[in-house]
Amino acid sequence: MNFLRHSRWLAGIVAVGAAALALRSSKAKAADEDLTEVHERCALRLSIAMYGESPSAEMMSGDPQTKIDEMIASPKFIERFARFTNSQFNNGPGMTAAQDVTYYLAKYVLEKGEPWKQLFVGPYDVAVAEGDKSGIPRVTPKADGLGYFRTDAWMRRYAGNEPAGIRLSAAYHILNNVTGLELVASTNAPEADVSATGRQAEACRGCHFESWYGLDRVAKVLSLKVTKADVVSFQPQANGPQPLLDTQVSDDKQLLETLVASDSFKFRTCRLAFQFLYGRVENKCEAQLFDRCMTNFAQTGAVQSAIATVAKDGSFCQ
Amino acid sequence: MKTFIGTHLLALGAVALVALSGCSSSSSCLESSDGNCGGDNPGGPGTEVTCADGAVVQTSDDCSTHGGLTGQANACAPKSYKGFEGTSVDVGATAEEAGKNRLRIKPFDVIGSEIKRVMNVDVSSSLTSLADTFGAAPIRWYDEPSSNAVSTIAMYEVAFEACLTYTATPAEFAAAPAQDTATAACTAMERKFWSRTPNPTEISACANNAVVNTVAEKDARRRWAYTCAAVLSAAGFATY
Repeated sequence: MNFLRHSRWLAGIVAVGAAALALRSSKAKAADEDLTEVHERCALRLSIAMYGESPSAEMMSGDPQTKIDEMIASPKFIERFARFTNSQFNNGPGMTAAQDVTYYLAKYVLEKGEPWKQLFVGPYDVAVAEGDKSGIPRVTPKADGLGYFRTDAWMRRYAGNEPAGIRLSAAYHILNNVTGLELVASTNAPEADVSATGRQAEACRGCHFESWYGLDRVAKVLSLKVTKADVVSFQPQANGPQPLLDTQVSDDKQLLETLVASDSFKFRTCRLAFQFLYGRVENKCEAQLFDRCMTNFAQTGAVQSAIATVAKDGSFCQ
Repeated sequence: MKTFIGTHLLALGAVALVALSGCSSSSSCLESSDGNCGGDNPGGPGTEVTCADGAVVQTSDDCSTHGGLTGQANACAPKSYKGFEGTSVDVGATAEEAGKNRLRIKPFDVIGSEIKRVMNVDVSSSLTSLADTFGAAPIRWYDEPSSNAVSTIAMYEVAFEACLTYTATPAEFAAAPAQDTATAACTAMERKFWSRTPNPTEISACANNAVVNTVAEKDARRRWAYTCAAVLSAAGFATY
């Protein structure tokens, strides 16, 4: 009797166990299929975002996020991120290769594994060598270089058309490239006074003089565009130290060194990483990942670490 | 002897139940976008999670609209980063939950290789003249692809061409689509082309397209090609 009661109970356990095993088996299969899908989607996202190409069979076969360091070191990633950087820092592609100094220097900095700030403050020149018929600019050491900001091609491209030669366009692009500042240029009314005096008008002075990014204030520490007989050249200004960016700034080098030492620069870099990998800026509820990106980038100074932080996070492949 | 059998059966039942709960926990990990695999709801599915604002929800992901997880930094509030002259730099982030708005249009450069990858058909010769239609980026440049009416119809045309080849010889496409064959083929194509398991609504829409919408076409293989092209030109394939 006792045995019979036990057998019924044990039979129940066996049945539950068998059912559980069967369920386990089907759930395990479903989980494996889920994992295959997750890896497939992850491989697609990573391969297209980082390389701009379809994922290889090898990448589809395992966990693609284990290959991120390898991907970031590859020439395909370097090419793609240099192009992406060029597109984020300029209004449009250069008419010639020589104008795309951002692309060439970004590529150089990535290839050499240099800190990302060297793109903005590194001692380089980017120019087509004399006699080089290819038209392709080369990166060469230059003691008084300042990233691509002192290259002849860049200075001419963003020399602007301010009547007195004040480089407002250059000032804006420096702030935009390094900190991500975005301003919308307003159209002048016909016959409006576009001189420095006219820019003191109520509607203009906010962006030109009053904010931390006051373009006229920033342009005071840049060289001046001088046009003689249609020939453009640049000459230093002697305005002395200017109260800028919570300090006194004397020239473009000091301006850039202050900018790349700021949280604004780190923020810009992590946002760039998000835009590259997600095709959009970060969402507010992705704040914790963004904070990790900031921390890692601050430690390494390498844009690769910012990108790796975002790409390696589990959420990237969800 | 009875005790021996009973002990083993109990162990078997226990192992099975442990295995079952272990599996459930694993599934929870797959669904979590924050990687907190059971950390915040260690009891696994069925264990509710309390968010920072006191709301009780099913998964940690649900806390994204409730101020993040209890005891952790608010998931939706970044640290405040100071810019120059006391300004805040953390502006411009989209007021959205984590993981939203993820789909991106596949760039022109990968359309041919993606079609080759999912159906082993080469359409590269047809794509060469379509770079401008799909907004291919110039040299040294990058453009985030976007979709428009022209690129959408071009994508369908390329997809149809690929699908004509794809359906040209397999026996399964020799007969006109019927409800059962269409359901099976649609399930397979959507899974293959979209890199995910389709839901019943998606399968049904595709099957309906095969069985009803293509009925005017007399050639069975072309009917399948139309069905295939609709799947291949859909967002499931055209985005990543």
